[in-house]
Amino acid sequence: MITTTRFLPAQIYRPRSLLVGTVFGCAAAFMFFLSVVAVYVRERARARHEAMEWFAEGTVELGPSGFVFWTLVLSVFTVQWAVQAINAEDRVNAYVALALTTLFGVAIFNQLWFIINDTGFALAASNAEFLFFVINGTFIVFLIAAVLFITFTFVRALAGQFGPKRAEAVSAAALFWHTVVLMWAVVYFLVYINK
Amino acid sequence: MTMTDSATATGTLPSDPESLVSPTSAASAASAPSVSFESPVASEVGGVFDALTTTDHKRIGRLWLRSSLLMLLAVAVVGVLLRIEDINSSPDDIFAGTNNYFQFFGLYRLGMVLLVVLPLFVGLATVVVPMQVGATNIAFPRAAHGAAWLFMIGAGITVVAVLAGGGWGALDGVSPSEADAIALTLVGTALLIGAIVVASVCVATTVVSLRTPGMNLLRVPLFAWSMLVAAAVWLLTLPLALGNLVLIYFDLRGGPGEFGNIEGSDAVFAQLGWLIEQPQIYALAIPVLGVFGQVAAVVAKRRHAQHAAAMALIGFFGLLSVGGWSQPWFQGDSHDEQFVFVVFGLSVALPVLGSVAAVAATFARPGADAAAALEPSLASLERTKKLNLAGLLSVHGLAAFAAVLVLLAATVAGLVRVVQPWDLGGRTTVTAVMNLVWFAALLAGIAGIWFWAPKIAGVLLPGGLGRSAIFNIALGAVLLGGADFVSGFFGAGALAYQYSAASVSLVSVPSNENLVEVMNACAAVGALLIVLGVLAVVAAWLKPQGNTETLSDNPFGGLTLEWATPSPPPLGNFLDAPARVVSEVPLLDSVNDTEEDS
Amino acid sequence: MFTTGFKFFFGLGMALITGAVFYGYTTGGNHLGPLSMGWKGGVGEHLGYSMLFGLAFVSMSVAMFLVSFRDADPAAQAHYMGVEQIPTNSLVTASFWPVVGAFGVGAMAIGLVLHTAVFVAGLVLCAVVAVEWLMDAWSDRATGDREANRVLRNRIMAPIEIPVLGAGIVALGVLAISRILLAASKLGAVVVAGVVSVVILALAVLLVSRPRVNKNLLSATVLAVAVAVLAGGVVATVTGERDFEHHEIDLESNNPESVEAHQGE
Repeated sequence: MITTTRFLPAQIYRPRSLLVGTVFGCAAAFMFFLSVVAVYVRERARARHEAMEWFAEGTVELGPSGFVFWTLVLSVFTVQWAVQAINAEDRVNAYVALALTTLFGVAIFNQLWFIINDTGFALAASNAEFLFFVINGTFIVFLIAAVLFITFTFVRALAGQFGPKRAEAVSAAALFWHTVVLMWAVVYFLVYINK
Repeated sequence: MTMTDSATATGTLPSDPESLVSPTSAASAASAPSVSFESPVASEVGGVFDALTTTDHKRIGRLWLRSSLLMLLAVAVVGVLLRIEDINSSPDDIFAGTNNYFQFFGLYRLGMVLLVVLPLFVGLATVVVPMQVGATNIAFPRAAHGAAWLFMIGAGITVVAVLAGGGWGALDGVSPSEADAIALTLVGTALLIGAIVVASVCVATTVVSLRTPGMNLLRVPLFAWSMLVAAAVWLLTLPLALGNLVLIYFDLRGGPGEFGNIEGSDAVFAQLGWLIEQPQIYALAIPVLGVFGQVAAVVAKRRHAQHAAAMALIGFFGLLSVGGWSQPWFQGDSHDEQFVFVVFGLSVALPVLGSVAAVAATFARPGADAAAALEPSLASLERTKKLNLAGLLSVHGLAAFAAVLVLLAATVAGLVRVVQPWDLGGRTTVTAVMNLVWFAALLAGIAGIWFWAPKIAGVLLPGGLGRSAIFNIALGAVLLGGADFVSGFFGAGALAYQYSAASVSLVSVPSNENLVEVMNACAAVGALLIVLGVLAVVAAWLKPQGNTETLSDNPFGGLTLEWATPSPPPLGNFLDAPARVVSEVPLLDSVNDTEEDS
Repeated sequence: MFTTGFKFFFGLGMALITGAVFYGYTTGGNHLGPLSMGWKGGVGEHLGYSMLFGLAFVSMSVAMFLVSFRDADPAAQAHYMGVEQIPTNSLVTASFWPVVGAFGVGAMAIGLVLHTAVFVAGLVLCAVVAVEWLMDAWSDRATGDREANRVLRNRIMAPIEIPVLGAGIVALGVLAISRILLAASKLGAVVVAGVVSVVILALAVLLVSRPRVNKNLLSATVLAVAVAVLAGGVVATVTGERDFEHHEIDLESNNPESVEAHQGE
């Protein structure tokens, strides 16, 4: 029978590998997202140039998307709180922060679902409505990925695997979360505010 | 006392080249932490189980290399058929209709990028780069393994879907099953791009975060650096193609029909056209400069005279190949006149020329250190500028030089293509650039495979087949690229087919039809030569020469850390942790210390 | 101060920002538009400008991360960890899950085109892979002893994996065989059922009679089945669904196919 007293200490891994890999992964993810947004702004500029209507008046509301944005801003603090708490070996705070971040993610998903249904858009109706769907849909996929990343990190944190100088997975999850927040900041400004 | 210690004590260079094979020293080994290299699961079982569960970067790299060679063979044959079809204006001889021609046309062009060249370099990098930076494995080996399989699945889906009537659009209308096959082609293409992006992240992370002590980024070998630059460019730009595919797919499945219009149109293919046009096409060739710089220095038996400058030039070439922004489908022909596009096109030959100049400086430099240290029989070359002809005529030497010359031709053709008065946009000049870049990359791939074969598979590859491959592929590339380059000046269209609602014909009408016919025949011969070259590569791969038992760890006199591993390298690559690196040529570090001491 | 990695990515970013500004002004941008991202004036052609600016932004962000990690130099990483020298060991235990994950993603891709059920199956496979990968990531770092890590992992996962895998194989078998039975004639169905029963019994006897199953054989079988499922999906996509049941046959019709189908039963 194996007892914990006989275990060798875990091997030291390169602490920056996961972070560097996540930086590159986030770069690729952001460029993917940006390519769809760039097509959106290009098509919108063309519609404007041809004096065509983009979104029908009153379809894309600023309020709900603002809730998403401000919730995401809150989550930026909670996810960094988790990183800070792990580094300070404050497990209780880390669990609370990770749980809150996950909760915010689920709430944002709910809100986005409402936004998409509320617009009453149809995929085939126009370029504007099609691109609106694709951009928001792509964002939802990244949001789900980020929530899963945070959740898995939460599970490993519960297993007691992180601590001071062993928090790279939490930092990587936070980095991906920040990238997703940045994605929404771009969408919020270009699609919702600057209609 | 180790061999290195004794050399230091006597002030002489070690006479045994094998002594330089392992840069580990007793002192460094003592201070280095012990690392476990064994993988009990792999060593106990082997075979299919190991292939499916491996986390060893060499096995993973070989998966990529084998897949890309298989795809290369298939795609090269398609290339010949297309070129034969191009000789006359009827699309019915081989492909039974313009639409079929169009599907294979798309498979050939996007296949050369996504199925052949990118995976070839990813495979080479997956095997070699970790060893070059002194790492025991690639970063995220499980992700790297998953990416290799995802690539194979994506390749299978894409090829089967195209053969079943799919492709990147349809010129002659679509049935519901063809629409499904086209959708399948799109998702297959997306899987290919996703796999290459994941593998790029693994390679880039390895170079950045898994370097051995003392190896700062300025000291990484040129191939590893070129792969960091290439991986960075690929992972920044290929996701844009993924964005294109997402828009096309969802439009096809119920959108307004603006992006996913597959019927009677080549709009879907055109949206991905930027992947095979300059400047993005040059992104495929970034590792060419890395292979060239590194192989040339080994061939010269000297350390690279301008290592830092060569790194800067590779970075500059990488910058000039960032081209996700120049998407002709969105911008039409007007992108040919854009200032930035023209500046990128005019500048891209400079880093290639610079790399050639840096290697020329290496050859011109008196060869003392590497020659004497690694091969006493070459002592006569010391402090002289004599050429090492045997090295130059080796397969890796010939292939590296052929690759850089073909790349230089490509960049010059690209430079001519952006000169406005000639108005060569949309002509076969574009195809010339594309073909020359592909085959420059392929030649560099051959140089790499022959050069690193002892580390890839623990073998040496036959020189005769290698030289035959280089001759055929280089000549084929010149014929293909040259013919298209000339045809472009006489109005031959790049797309090779023209269509409208009323009629579909195979070729556009050039101003001098006879000349273009001759050029098309030359191109067909070139494509055939390339197939012969590819067959030689495959034959060499299947039947290597020599005995693994007697294979030297460093048969070519390499100066970088991969040559400090046994051939073939074991799990974990190094028998002992590498000594602290103090220069860009770790195998000479101890020799240099000795020289300074004496 | 400025590391090599930083210099490359920052230089790339600066060059692309310059490119974006030139691009903007040479494609119709005016006033301060290309300089201010469209705040004061037009940026010119939107797609190229956005891409160039986006590439520059991302490249510079990567540069900032790299310089903050000191290019992740071994010395910097060792310093961070408070050790003299940091090992490069990143060997992880062998695992089936990357390959299974690749097949899961492949199934999702095919399912996106073919049928929602295939997509969901791929999604489930990916979810399983995610959980297993998580457990592998945890167990690899649980202790410094590989064998202990393996035992720890199996102690947690085996009670879940074995029943779930067994149930999955039974469900898949039942589903696949039921399709065959439905497609075959009445007599054929009896024959197929008999043959399948004998094969299952023979396999079970073979398995229990051997002390150890050849992992290579098992791996090859799993791979072959996975490839067959994916290939079947592709073929089914291309050929479309086959109508293999004729519940309502118009006997009064002169359609020979209907009559033959009826006689066949």
